[in-house]
Amino acid sequence: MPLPNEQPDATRHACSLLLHGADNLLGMIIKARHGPSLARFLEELNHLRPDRTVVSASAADDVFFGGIDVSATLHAGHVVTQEGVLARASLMVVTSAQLLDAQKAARLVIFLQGMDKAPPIILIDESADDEENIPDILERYCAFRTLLTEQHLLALKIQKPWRPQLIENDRCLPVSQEQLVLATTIPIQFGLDDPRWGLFLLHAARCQASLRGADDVKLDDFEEVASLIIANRANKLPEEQDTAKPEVEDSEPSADSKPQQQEDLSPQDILVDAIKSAMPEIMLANLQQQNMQQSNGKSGRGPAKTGNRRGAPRPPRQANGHKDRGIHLGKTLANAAPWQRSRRAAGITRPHEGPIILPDDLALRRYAQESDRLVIFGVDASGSSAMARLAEVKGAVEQLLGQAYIHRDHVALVSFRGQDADLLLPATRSLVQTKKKLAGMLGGGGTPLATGMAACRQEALRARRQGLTALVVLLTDGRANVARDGSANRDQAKEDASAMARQFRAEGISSMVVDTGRRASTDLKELASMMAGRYQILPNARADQLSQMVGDALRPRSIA
Amino acid sequence: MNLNFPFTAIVGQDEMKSALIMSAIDPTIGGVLIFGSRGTGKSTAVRALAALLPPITAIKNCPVNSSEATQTPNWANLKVKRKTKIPTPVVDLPLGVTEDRVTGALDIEKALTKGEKAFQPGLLAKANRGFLYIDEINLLEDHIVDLLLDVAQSGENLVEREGLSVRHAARFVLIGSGNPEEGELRPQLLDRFGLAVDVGNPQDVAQRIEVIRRRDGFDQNPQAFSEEWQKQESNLRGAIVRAQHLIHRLQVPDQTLEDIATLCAALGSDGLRGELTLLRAARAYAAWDNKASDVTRNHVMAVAPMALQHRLRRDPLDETSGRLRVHRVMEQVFASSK
Repeated sequence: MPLPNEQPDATRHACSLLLHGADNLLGMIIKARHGPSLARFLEELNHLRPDRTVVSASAADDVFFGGIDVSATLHAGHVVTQEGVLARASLMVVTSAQLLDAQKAARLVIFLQGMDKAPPIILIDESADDEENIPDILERYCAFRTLLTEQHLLALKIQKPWRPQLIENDRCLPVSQEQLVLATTIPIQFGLDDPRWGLFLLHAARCQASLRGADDVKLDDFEEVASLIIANRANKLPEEQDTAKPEVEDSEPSADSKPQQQEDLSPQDILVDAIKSAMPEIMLANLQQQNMQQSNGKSGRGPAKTGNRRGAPRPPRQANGHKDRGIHLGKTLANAAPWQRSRRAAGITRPHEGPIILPDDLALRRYAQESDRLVIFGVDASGSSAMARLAEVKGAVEQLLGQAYIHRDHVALVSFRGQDADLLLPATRSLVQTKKKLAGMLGGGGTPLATGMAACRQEALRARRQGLTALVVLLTDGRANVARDGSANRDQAKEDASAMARQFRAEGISSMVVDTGRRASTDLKELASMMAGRYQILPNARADQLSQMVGDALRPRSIA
Repeated sequence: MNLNFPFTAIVGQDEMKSALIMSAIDPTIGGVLIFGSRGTGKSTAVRALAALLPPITAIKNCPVNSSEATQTPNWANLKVKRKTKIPTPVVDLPLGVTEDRVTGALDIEKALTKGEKAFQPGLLAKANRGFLYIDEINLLEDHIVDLLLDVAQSGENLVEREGLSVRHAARFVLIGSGNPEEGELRPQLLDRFGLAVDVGNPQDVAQRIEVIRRRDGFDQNPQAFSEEWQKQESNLRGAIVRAQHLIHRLQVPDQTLEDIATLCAALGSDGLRGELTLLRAARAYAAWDNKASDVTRNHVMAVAPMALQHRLRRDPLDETSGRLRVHRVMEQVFASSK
């Protein structure tokens, strides 16, 4: 049974709504891997709106926002600016949108918000699962989020071409008090706290109603659009028992407004069901599990990666093509100066008196940049690490966190116990989040040391791709007893851990092992030397020594 | 032109609104830092404030909005110096901004074509006598933030680069907003802001419905919605102007000064900046109060949390909010002295 929201139709439906009511719906995110489904959708979109502009997220800033056209400026002798695509586009499609960093995303949103009539924007999120995310600020700018998967190739073949009627939307349809309440409360039930989602829901329902040519907004309209906004974003599932009305029944129980739905399902329930049935299975399962554990609404993601464009100025360098950085005027003129006579002699002319500057002369400003640093804590939460020790370990990590905070380092948190390892917190600079995660960390079970190391390694490699300097701090008592395949085989477990350690060394991942056992373990010492990392035993280590060590380990910047 | 959502139509968020109003009444308070998750109306409030503020008198075309002809900078080369009314400048500082654009720099065009050394003013000049707003301040590059705070502190922008040596007045109210979940602001920057407020989403459903209703009403027909709120807007504008006049006539009794000093000492806030800000904020609040002739303890208590919560010596791992600590200490200090 195909899930409604995974069908290409959800995406197309959302897109029709967006094009219909762009002023209020602003944008949509399509999560799709590169493939035939996406290709077909883009082709159809092209057909529908040949005026659309497609830009890759990795394009330079001035492609988006405009800037100085250097070669034209040099030729004309006065500053020639060029508009960015945002200013010109009537419909923006951004591919590989997961590559946008928080800064660029924020710029994008602020730019769009400042426009008189911002173009609708379609962001294609081509990330593999949870590897990278669209920055939060963009996520919240866009009304819809849909999935486009490759599971329906056959369906794709037989599917009718998408040719929605695009009509001008200039009517403002009224909504009832009941619908207003619905729009407000439904997103909250799914753990979406921002009032924006409620607004989007209202706008989308209006669009839906006007698309079908109606004069009033019905519950059906909400049902049609709710999943497009909420299903792929939900943070939790509504609690089963009290989907009943919240305490705002004061206005009027509405004598006339619910004639159709007689079968004692409240509008709330109908919408909740519609959204739930549109959720991807995995997501639904995860959320259900989370609900069982505790209905603690988790906070949003926060991948805080700031760009590396700061630091003290360095000597300028010859420019190759123009980039986002500033031009170093002095050096440029100095480059051009010796050639002036020969250039004039060679008959190169300019409409002005000034020096003749050719693109080759341009020098760019450069900045010395220190890579941001990432400390990945791999915390052994197994039973052998024991409850009491776990508290101590948490204490040590907290101390290190304080240190990281002062140095403005990023931190990530991996815990391993039982049979697997969890990335509790992807790289972030938010101390609050880290603390929350750390406090909620559970203990008990076997020690899958190699699995934990693998998770840390993955995080380190990802950080490296993002240009961060990473350090893995492994806190464990070293009694590996669960192998990578999950079996409780002590020898195999040890062998796996050694293999992992060699991999760390081969890939040049900086590391450090903190022995949390009561006595120093020779195994761990060996492991540390295999990883080419430092070794420290916790009981002897004062917190300040530990952070000193972390600092030392990061300083050499052996990788980068 | 894009219409702004009316300031007075913002539901709840009273602390943020009053912090913004205080800083409009007395710009020397030193700016406002608004921290909170998205969707809490931070940006809306700041942009709405711009529309609300009374116009100022300035020399026409002066790049730094000087109020008197004698204050216009030489490098502006103004021939005619005529006074005119302009809206209070509210300048947006975009995230990707370069240092040149902020401080101003050599005018490259003139330098290349005419061989003239001319200064092209930047955003700091534009913001003089007004507001400078940075959304997502925690994502702004560190060296730009440093630069901004230096200027905000000294009230003067000093450009020494590319053979230029220019200085001009740059007095503005710095307003920063951000989401702590996405990275925290460096602690040394926090206390450079006069006031700090945390905002959250209203938990009350009825209030949330009202938020959505109004915002929806605005989205559907900005023109009509703004007209509907015209009266409230002009009332508030009038009140701000009144308070701006009144503030100079207010007395600060010794008792109030003592209260302020005691409170700051008890909280262990660093330096004198806390005391001064608290005094100014309390005075602005008293002026806003309209009936007061003195600045009293009540005024101090009303603004203490926003003036002090970000100045406390902070253990980065201590989760008690600054607000709570200010409240606690206030209760202790003032209970015993009464």
